[in-house]
Amino acid sequence: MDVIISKSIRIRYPDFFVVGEGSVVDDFCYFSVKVNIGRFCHIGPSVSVIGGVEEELRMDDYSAIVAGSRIICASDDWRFELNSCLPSSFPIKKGSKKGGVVFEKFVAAGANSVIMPDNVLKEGVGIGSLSLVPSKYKFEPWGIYVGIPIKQIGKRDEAAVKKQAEQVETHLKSEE
Amino acid sequence: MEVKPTISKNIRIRYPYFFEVEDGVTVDDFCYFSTRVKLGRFTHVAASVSIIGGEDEVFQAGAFCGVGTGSRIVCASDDWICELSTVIPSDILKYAGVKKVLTGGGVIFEYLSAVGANVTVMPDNVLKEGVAIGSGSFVPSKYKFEPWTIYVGSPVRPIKKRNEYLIKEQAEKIEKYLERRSNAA
Repeated sequence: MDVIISKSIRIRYPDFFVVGEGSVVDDFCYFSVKVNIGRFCHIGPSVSVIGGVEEELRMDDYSAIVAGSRIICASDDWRFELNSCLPSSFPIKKGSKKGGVVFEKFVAAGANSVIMPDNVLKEGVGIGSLSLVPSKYKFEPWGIYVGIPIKQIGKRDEAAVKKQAEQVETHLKSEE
Repeated sequence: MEVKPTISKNIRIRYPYFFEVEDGVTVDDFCYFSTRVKLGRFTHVAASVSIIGGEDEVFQAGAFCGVGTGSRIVCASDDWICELSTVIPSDILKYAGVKKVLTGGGVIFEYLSAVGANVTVMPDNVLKEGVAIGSGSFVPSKYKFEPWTIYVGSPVRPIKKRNEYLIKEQAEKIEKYLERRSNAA
């Protein structure tokens, strides 16, 4: 299966940009971290994933980020740090909030959601549109979360979702 | 010695005559500016930010400000309660006898203020010195900010104070370092 990656995106570190088969990256996305995308993932238009080359976004198979979402893998602690972008040669220590973000299998983040650093979205988690995920949030697998900041409102149907994925895999095998 | 601004080529500046940046400014990809813009020293405008409102409005940021990725700064808007909400060419409006009044008003970020990712700031706002706004927040028109306070929510509400002393100290360290560097050069 081919991957579809728009030409109108910006990848700051192309040496660390890995995409699995069948995945799609839409226009106007911006990546300033290492990116490791599995099979059949989808990143919608205008998604930004930021944080610098030391941090990583990992997306396992069948996970998705919908249009306009922002994944932050490094940030300054605004309570006591400067908030602007400074050359690394400057004698200032900042960026104390950091840590990559992991989307396990089947995870989806809705439109315009914001995910702060150091988060593992457990298998099957769903995040509603316009939600805010604070740093180091403790997820339950297959939970549905919404709000600013998020709270759990329900569960996804694990069996139904997994069955669809199995159907896709069986179909692929039959084509070979 | 100056610090060159870093301005991505993949951005749209509708009114380049009115686009002013100072030393050390960073503007990342996919940003869109349709107002007059003034960015102070070391201010950072992250990827996919839109600043809209037309040639008559001004977005102004002081030194060491930040606009988080995906944020929208709205400097003019129609009054959706009693007006059309699309853009119609001004000559058509004129001959058709339709009057549209923009609820305009520039947005000012004072020294050391910042907004997080996907924040929406409505027209006619002044973010006082050191104000910080959390990700995903909504700032209504003419909001009354207190300096050095952190705000979150839709609409925003204050939640805690920033450490004015520590942050100013960091900014001063940088200014002093730059001074030393230029004296040496």
